[in-house]
Amino acid sequence: MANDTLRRFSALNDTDRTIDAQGLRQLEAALKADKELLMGNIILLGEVPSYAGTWMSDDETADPSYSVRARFFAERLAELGADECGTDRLGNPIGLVKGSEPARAPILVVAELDSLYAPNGDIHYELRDGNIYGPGILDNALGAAAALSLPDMLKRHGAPLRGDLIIAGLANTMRDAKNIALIERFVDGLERKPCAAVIVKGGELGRLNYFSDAVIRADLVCERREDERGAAEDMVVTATELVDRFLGIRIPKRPKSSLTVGMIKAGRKYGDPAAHARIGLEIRSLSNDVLAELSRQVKDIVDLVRYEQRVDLVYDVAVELGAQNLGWEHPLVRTAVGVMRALELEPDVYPSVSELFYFLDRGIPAVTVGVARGQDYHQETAHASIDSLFTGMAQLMGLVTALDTGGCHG
Amino acid sequence: MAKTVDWLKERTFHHSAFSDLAALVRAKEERGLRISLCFPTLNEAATIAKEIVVMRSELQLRYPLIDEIVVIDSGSADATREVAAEYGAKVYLADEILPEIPAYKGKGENLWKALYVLEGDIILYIDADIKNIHPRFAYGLLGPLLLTEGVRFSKAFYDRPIALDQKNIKPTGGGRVTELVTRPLFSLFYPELSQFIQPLSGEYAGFRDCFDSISFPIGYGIETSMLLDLYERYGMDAMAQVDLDKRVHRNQSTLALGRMSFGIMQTFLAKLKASGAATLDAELYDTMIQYELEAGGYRRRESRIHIVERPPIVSVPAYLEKFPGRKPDA
Repeated sequence: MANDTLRRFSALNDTDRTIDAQGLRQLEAALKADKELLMGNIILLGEVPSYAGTWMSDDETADPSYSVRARFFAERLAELGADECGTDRLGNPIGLVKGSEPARAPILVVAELDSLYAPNGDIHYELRDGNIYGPGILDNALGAAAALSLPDMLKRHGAPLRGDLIIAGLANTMRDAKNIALIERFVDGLERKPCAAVIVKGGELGRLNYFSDAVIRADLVCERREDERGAAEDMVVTATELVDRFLGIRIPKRPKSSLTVGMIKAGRKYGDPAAHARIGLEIRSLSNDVLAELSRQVKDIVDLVRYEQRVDLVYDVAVELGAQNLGWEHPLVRTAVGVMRALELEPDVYPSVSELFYFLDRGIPAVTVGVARGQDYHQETAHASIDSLFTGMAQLMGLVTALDTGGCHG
Repeated sequence: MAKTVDWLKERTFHHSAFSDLAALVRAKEERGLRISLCFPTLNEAATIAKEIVVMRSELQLRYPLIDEIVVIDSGSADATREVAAEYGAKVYLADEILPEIPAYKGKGENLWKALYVLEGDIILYIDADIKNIHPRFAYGLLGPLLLTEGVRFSKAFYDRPIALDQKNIKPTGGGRVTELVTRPLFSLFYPELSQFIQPLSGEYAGFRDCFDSISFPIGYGIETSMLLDLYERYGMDAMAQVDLDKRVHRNQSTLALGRMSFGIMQTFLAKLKASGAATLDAELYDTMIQYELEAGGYRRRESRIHIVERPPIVSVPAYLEKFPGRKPDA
């Protein structure tokens, strides 16, 4: 039944570009009937440690950046029916599901493998109260498990694909802010330019990101100058001075912009003036020009404080991304909205940073979607609603199928 | 002791040797076998769903290795039965199986009664409190039965950390009863059996005749009794042990382990006496006496632990009616 359902869905989508809502709801029900398959993948992947790293070697101890989760992802992709499986030159696991028309540009489905919250020790997921509990499940074990499940689920419930489907797990992206550059290298290393990229996140079901804020994430490192007359002694005071001045910067409401001091680290003991301080700062704007202006003001403040307080100040930009916008009218966005509405999901549209920018910047149409509703994202008690998983997976499969049959090719 | 070395070498496996699930399915189908997985439960709502999901997903839906997943419940006060049924297991209340026979409570009772409702030629028992459940717990134990000539029973062993609470895992420990009670007893009377790394592990698999032709103590002594009986009936070569890597389970207090040890010793001594391997003239007491520190004093705690033993189920007429191919031993 489910096979027929998605085949009808694809055929309908191909001819008149409308979404077969009934077919998608039936797919959702079919996924729920085989709930153990998707839940099994989530549990098995989620319980594999997500220490940041890639899969570059068979010797787990030889490489400190080795990721057992990346290896699991690759091996599991092969088990679940990917026609080819391997890694790119960065060690990201990649699977290929072959379509019947290999000349078509492929669709890329990509998910980060690491979990932002990765506790020490073993991870044990639990099923209770209609939820799956597990640290790291929403960011991003669940997103990775959904992407991983595609070959098997499409085989069981979907229509044969016309174009190729590439499924990639992005490893090593959450170790620190600078690791976002690895996403750029992944995108630049793609051997075939996809017609569309779907970025899969664990949560939140209904999210739709198709434009990215311009963003700068920077570390400000304050160091005391020893033995310099008149130099500021306590870097906590210097950091406070910087923050006070940052808060005095006028932030425009249009285009929407923000400046956030997200982290401050300084000092060792109650009674000792701090010799070092580090501030983590993020500036975001929908406008590249506004971002540049805010960045200039931040740098001016840094220079001013450096000279006035006679301290060593380093303004270290970890991430600098421009604003990109696929546009509401783009066929990929329209298709995604159509699939969501067919599943009675109200698209939650907001700007995103990170992966999305790199795809859009390289002219690859891309959206970010979530596959479950959940809570306590980056805590021990993170959990996702089991019922929402099947809607999320139907959304992902519906989107891939719709893109394959039309939406991807204008 | 050359024989000991051979058994360890030839009958000790690692689960990874059996990770080719398609090969296991082929072996099962070529021999026309059916496999039943049984979870004995008592208030396992916290873990049973995950156990069933993982087994059903990997070993039923993806690879048709296990033909049925059955939960035999001792009367849980939590939602164990409802949760298990929701995830597709067949669920039975132990008291409702063979209702014409007076019921007892205990894991051994569940395992024994399970034999009546399970349909498989091979039966796999897995405890329902495993936090890190993985398909290897099943295919690792089934592998030797399906692929190694002459093996009729397989038993798990582990590197066993203990879950102290929700967050903390104690990386070493576990097996205290094994090392302080069971292995010394085996070493004294049945040295060959001391080669089982974890003779008390709750996960094992075997052909139906292994289980239906032996008696089942309903309480703590079931694993010890089973090994002694199978050893006597089939010998070491028909038994295997499989390393399933890590198993995370709930910790038990020393007092609880003391009562377990009492039950195991009771069973062991009774078997010893019955086999004629030793004589014991004195009558044994059936009460475990323990002391707990309480409000500055010691409180005496007595636990009566009876040996109640189910006979081989193959001697029960209702069982023979259901499985006419089986017959009691002469």
